Amino acid sequence: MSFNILVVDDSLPMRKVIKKTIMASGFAMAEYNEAGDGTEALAILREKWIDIVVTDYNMPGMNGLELVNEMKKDDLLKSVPVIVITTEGSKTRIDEFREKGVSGYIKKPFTPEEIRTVLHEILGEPHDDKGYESSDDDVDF
Amino acid sequence: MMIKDMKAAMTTSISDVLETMFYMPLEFEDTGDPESRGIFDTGDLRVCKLDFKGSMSGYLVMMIPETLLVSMAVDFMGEERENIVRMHTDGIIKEVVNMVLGHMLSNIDEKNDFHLGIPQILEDRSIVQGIRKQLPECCVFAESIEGLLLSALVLDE
Repeated sequence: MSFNILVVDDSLPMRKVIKKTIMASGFAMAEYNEAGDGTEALAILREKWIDIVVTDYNMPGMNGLELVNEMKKDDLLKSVPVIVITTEGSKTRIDEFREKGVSGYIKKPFTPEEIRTVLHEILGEPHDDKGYESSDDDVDF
Repeated sequence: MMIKDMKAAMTTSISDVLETMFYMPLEFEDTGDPESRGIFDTGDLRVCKLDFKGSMSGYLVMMIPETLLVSMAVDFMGEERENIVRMHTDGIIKEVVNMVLGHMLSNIDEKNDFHLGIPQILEDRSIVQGIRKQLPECCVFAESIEGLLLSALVLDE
């Protein structure tokens, strides 16, 4: 099975690294989408079928948790799994993620293996060792 | 918290972030070494500041030469050097500051929550001049193969 993935981060370099990491994890991406903040992400989510969202927490405009809040209010989006990537790893913050129904979180700095582990927990074992075949990017992890 | 504990947390954080995500080994410099201060004369120095609030408040400022940021962007993004533009290096320094501060604050006080602002690139050099004149107590110089970087934590009074 292949997945439509949405990566949300205000940092272009970080979006690129997350994309490469997901590709290197062996998950088949049917379609890769990206957004620079929560507002842009919501627009994409309301337009396209997305199987999983990987979002940064700290972004200008709508942050990652506010994005989750908005998704939970929407019947069509509330069951879409969300992974939050954050530098802020306090117990309070992690508890807040759990309460809001976040499917997984990854603390920065992260290794490719950490992203792979969380994706496995949510999506199951990858079935495509080549990842997203239509990308021109090199995967060098 | 003692300043020496905060410096230790900052050193660990810089090391963890740059080694984990940028594969960059570092050596940490004694801030008393006058040679280290040559970083302030670097022509292409990029400066980024990030405010934070919580059980303590203040800001972290990091100074990294543009040439070093270009190398970091090459390693991080897997792009060719000639394809790296200012938008990429600005993104890299903002991400480094965000990760270093978030990681450091989590290590200092794991139970309490801190609110981080949005990293800002500083074109105005007044903060740099202030730090050059009087190094903050919590200040770390780190040396990579391609140059020095400086990180300073300034707490609100």
